[in-house]
Amino acid sequence: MRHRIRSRRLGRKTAHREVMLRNMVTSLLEHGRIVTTVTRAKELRRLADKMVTLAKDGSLHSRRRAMSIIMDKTVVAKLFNHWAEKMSEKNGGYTRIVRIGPRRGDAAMMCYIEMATDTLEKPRGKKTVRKSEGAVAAPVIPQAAPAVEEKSRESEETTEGSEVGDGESSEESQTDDQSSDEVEEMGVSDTEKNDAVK
Amino acid sequence: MAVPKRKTSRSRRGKRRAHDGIRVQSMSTCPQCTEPKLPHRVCPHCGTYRGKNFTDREDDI
Repeated sequence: MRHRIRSRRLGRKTAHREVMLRNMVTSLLEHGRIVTTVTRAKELRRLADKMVTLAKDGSLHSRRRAMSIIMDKTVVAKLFNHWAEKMSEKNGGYTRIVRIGPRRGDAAMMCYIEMATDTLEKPRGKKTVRKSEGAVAAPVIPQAAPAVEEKSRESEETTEGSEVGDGESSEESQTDDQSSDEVEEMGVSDTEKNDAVK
Repeated sequence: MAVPKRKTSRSRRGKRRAHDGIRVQSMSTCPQCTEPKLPHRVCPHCGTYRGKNFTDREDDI
């Protein structure tokens, strides 16, 4: 049974797949960044992270284990000197996958996979700004639905009228009221229909 | 051999294809060069993603 074996087979027999991944990890460690498909990259990062872990151990036994996978002696030397030093501050997350776009021909999603020596900028779009505002306003909105709390909400609006989040919450409460009205109308029409059927 | 008894009418053909429509791919704007790009991808115009230029040679990594 092939239960709980999570690795991808990548359409190859074991020997073919292993030698491909060994070649790829050798290239990755030699150049720092390679272009491949996302599926291959995701499988490659498992092996690449293990290589860095061996390099950070730095013992002769680790070096021999790395040598048994990496195809090139000089790359093993680079791994144990260069990359081990670069990654000394990190505990995992040694590689990064960045998507490029679909490949012409078979539309396979291509990506860069690189050794993550730097950190990328946090994306600062409209969405993240809205989320932060929404997080402030979110606790108010769902609890404001009952009519009893309307007075307290009005007082909040007068005090915090300049904020954008309050305007959103009032709009949402209006839409809620409308939808409930619609539900009631639907209920009436349903009963009428039932009468007509009878 | 099994053979269709009737020609498929324009109506039936159209109804079959009712769910074959193609959606427009959602796009985002590159913060570097303001060109449209696919979200969560390297910008094809200026080659950057989240502030890093990926068209550089990797010799300095």
